Amino acid sequence: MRAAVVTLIMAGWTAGGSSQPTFSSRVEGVRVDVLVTDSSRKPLRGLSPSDFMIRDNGVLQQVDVVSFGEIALNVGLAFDLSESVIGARLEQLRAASKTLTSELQPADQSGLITFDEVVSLRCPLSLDRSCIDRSLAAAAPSGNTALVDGILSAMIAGESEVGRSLLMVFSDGLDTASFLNTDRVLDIGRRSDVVVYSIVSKGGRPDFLEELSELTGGRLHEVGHEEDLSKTFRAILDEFRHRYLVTYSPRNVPKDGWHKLEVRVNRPGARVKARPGYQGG
Amino acid sequence: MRLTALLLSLTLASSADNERAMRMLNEWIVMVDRHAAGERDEALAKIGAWNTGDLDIMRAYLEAFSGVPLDNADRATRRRQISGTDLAAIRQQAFDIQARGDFDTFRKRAVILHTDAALLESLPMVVPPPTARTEQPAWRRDEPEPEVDVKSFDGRVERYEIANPHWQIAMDVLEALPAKPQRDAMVARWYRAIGAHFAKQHGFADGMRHFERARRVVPDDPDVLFGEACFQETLGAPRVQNLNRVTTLPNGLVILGVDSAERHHRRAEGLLRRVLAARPDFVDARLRLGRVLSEQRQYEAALSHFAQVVTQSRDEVLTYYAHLFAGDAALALDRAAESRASYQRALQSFPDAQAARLGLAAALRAAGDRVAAVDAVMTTLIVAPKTRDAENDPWWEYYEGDAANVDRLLAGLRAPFRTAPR
Repeated sequence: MRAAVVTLIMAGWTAGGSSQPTFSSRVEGVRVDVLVTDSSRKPLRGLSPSDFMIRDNGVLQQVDVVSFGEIALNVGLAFDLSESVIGARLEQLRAASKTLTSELQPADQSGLITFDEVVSLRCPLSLDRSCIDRSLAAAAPSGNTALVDGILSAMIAGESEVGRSLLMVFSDGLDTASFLNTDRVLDIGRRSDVVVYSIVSKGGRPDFLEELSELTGGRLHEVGHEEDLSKTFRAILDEFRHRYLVTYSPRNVPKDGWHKLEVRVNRPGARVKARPGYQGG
Repeated sequence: MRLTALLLSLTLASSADNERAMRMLNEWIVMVDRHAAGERDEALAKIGAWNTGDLDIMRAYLEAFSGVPLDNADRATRRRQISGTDLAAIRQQAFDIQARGDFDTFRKRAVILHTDAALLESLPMVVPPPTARTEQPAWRRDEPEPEVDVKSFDGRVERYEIANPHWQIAMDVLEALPAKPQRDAMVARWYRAIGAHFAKQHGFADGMRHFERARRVVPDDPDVLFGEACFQETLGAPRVQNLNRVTTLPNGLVILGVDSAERHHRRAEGLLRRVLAARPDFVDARLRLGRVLSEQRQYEAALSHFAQVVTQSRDEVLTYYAHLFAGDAALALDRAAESRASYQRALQSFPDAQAARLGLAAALRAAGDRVAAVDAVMTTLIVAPKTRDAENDPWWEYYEGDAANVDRLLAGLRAPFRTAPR
């Protein structure tokens, strides 16, 4: 995950044209996606780097950059299209996806990976909004569920050094066909910048998805069969858009191994949600 | 996936129509002689037309006729349902067949007839979900609880079925074959072939009953032990464990027979070690021993078995599995470079294998090589087949265990009985 590389193109930060040579500087930085809400659970806006306090393995870090809302999103969708997702549920999924893509900003990218026993790329991350609608309209769910394989694929494919990466997983939560071991995929989750939000059917008891969502700083939503998926999709997008991207360069901590993160905000009553740590090295 | 679970209940025959049962026995004797193994012939149609009530009643008559040992209470109970007159008549008929001098062959043909009835005929088995009689503690119930199999697909319960009684009858008659000085070779062949059939059908409830009997009848046969080991491995796999965890059945029913993954893996390990003690060159068993050790987090030991498989086998599928599983075990040990190399070797045999390609992506990502990881993922996602195809990736059939051999095994089982003797 997380030992994301922040590339600063020096020329791009220079006002006006210049004949001076340009440089690329690579800084080993860590990006942490942080949701800050007030006591009524509404996003808290207007925070600056000095409002954040980050401890990396207990060591206080200097926050370099904080951005809010201005960075384009990479919205990856990983949908279960196995036998168990048929009928009304599939229709809801189609409608919810349409709602989601309609609410994306012009610079946001979206993509779709589906999985039954086979994991397939339906739409690469792009600005094309119609691909997802078309793919889902043609989808015919069948077979077993390679949930873990599908998520690993979507996490790796969704990582990007440009923009913020959201992965929305929809499934009944029940893996019946994957090769990959959940421990290995959770480990990749600890290394990845992607924030995973999972939407699962009630009663699925999806321990793996819950753990993955939690460790990437996302959330698990359990929805009943009659519930409106569009509402949930919209709520996730809205929540993710209103998160801060906090960047710092780790100091005085070894690079490798598990880094426990502690993120705080100096505003009374503020609630902070971020990933609990990251795997370095 | 179909999860067939053992639940409650068993219906015992109520009042038997003895005269009818004797007529059916006579008909059965003729049909056993007439049936050509593997054919949908007149004999199969007649026996296949027996309903479950007929089969329940006839089980006692066929046991008595075949000379099945009365070595348990259920058999003794069934035997008491036969009147003394009928029992004497049954013994006389058995004596007449014995006098022909081919009673063992006749009994084997009877096994094949019921096997074919189970495999080729479609006995109506669907029943409504039963109600568990939970109001009485088990020790106060004077009848066993009903037994029903649950058929489910991809986690959804589709229907309830009763177990096909033809299997029980075939197993009963097999037990009548001579056990000393050693079991007739057909017994082990039958248990292996039918175990492979249940593996192919994902018939877990049938498989449980099958291997429970096998343990008693052919406890040391390496092929049967291997079949049961594959079965135990599958019961411990996420695909069954996850289903078992989330499946909620109505009427207070519970799934029986599926234990924790750890327990199934330990059982599989024990069985595979016995297979290898008897036949150290049984490469399939070594591969699966490595896999179940890996599932129990004994990665170093697992890697050693995978290495032996690669050395011993030239089978492309087996060596693919060995490299694939070695890739996972090495990654679990945080040896990403070794893991990557194993996955790359797996891909040499099956370049489009999605499992190996995703494993490679995980190894690359764990090593911090994002670009190569994305490349590995995209390579497999773009060429992904519409449906699973084991020719592209054998992983999709790994948990079918011995199922890949089912056609060959059934053909071998039927071969001596292809033509009717008279």
